[in-house]
Amino acid sequence: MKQFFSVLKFEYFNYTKTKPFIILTTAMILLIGAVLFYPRVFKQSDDGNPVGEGEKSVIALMDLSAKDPTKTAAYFNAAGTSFEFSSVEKSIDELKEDIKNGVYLSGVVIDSDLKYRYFVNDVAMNDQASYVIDQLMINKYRQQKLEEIGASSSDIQQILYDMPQKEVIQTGKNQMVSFLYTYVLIFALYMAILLYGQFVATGVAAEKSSRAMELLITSAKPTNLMFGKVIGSGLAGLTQMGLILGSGFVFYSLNKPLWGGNMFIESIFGMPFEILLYALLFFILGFFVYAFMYGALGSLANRTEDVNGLVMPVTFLFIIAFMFTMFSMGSGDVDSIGMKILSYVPFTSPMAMFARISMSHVSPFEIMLSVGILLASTIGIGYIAAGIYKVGVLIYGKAPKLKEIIKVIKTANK
Amino acid sequence: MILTADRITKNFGEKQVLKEISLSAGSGKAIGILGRNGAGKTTTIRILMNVFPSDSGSVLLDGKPIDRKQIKFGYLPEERGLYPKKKIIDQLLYLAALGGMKKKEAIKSIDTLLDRLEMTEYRDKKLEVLSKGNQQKIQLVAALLCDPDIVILDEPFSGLDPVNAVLLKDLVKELIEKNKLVLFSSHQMNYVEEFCDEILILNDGKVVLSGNIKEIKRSYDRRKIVVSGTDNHRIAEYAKAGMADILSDVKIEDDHVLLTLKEISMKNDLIAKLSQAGHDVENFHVYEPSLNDIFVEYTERAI
Repeated sequence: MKQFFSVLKFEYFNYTKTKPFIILTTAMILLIGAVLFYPRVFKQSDDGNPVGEGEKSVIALMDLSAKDPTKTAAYFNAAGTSFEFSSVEKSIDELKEDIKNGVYLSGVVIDSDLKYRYFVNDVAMNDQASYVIDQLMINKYRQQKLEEIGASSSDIQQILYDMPQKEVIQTGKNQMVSFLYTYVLIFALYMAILLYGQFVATGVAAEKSSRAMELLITSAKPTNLMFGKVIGSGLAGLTQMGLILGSGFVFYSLNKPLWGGNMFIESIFGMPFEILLYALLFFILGFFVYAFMYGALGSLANRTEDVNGLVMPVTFLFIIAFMFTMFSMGSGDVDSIGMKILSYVPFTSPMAMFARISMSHVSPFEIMLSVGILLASTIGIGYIAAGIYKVGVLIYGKAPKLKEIIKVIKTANK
Repeated sequence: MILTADRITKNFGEKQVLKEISLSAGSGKAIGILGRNGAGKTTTIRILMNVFPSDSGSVLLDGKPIDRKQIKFGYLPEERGLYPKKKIIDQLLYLAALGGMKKKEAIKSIDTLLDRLEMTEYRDKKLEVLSKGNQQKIQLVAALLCDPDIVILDEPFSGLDPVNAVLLKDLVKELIEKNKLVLFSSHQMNYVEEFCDEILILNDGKVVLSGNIKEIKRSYDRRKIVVSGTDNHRIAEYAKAGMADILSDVKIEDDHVLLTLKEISMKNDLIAKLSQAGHDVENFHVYEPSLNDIFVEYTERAI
């Protein structure tokens, strides 16, 4: 046991103390930090540059239907929108020219109570200004009409500004929201398993090709060497994911008020805690299934260059599982027959079952069955992988045939 | 402490790699395991160290199975290499930890060995920056850091310059003096003769010769006498013409004459006759084959 921990410790720091690990992790944290701190930095630079904001948000207003156009402008400005309305008296051509030259953000020419022309240089994808003007026009019209029939101003306020109070009571899962965090977690799962699984394969092959294995195998039990390596690598992967996700959560909570209303960000960081726990569970089990296979295959390589070819079938299997899950998520039907089957197959269940739990309803029994199958397979694959590893690390030259490996496992594990 | 292997066999698939190998080695002595490439030396060593079990036969230490917790092995493999990109001290500490050593004693032991092998300056360097010979010395530190009871050295001298070879030679002698059990495998027969009393020659998975080197040499035909003097040709001619009664064969070789006596008892007659005839004899000894000759004789057949 002590030996196992020695290997574990060595392997863990072998990954986490390397430059690529530190650089990649730091870069990811900085990237997430840049995204999440963006509104804070953005807002501050706006405050520091009020002239720019003033110039940009001024909308020219020409009320041709009113006797006193400045009143309309005052009414619009009193509504407290993010735009400033400035009453002007110009010809339409002059107005167009001004907008073209950027003097005004846009121009509004009111022809009658419910008819207006909107002049704008480029129509942005979601032009908030025209939406705001619509609202202001309607309000102004309604207020006018209500005043005409003699309603008191307090009644008018109530009629115009009272909003329905709504409370969303969810009986199912909001797939629009769950899709985003499931996507993020599945992608993290995919990256971490693929990356750290392959690290195990190349690590084993490197020890073999550098002949360090000659000494290792005589000073430590092969099972300790292999399990230490697999678990060490898995912990390194968890450390990296934990640091990146953790810093994401910290950055988010620091900037939470500034992100108010952004559905994308809110859904990712508002993911239920139990989903995070499921992600952890499926990462651990899925990682072991693949890392054991990668470790066994790595032990059959003579040089690190051989690893890619040897692990290809396993990597392929994993990519297929990932693609299928992603497509099913995209199509919105994570409970298709295909997904149901794959959520019990040990090589695909870490992603398929996780996606279903996260985006749909899966009974506790189904989850237990899937996890049970996965756990049993992990142990079985670990056992077989240890057998292959034991033999593989001592064989140079041609990789042994499957039949020979099976024979050796039988005798070695007697 | 006596290490014995009794009729161990090993098959890899269809191939029988070891065919009933037996050996016995005692502490305070070195045994040389010799054999051509592929004869089964490494497999034998691995079975002795219990890297994998033999198919049949047994390996015992003082009549009992080896308890790896009590008995420590030090191994210098023929195929060498550690972690090229790691600091030397870090990887040595790792190997020490795998062997169950505490960090403090490991550091002490490593520093002593590094000092002994004049490698202290490389302690915190990465392995890859070292020359081949120096990497080999680090490998030797790795083999000896746990103060092993049984030391297995596979081709320890390959790649070492003469100065380092002397350093290693002294170290090996010290191990033997310290009552360690040393198993030594090499193709450089002069080193084998220097350290080993006993040898074991493997060929094609079988023991073809084993025993005490001196006794093996004595077992050869002792009627052959090596004679050399200031004029080897004169000695040879005289031997052919005047000593046909006691000699059965005369051969001139590079720097000596090889005379074969009819009977061992005629050795003194030969000395007397040579001196009577007034030959200037500088060298006179019974021919003994070199270990190299013996090795070639037993291993050139087969494989």
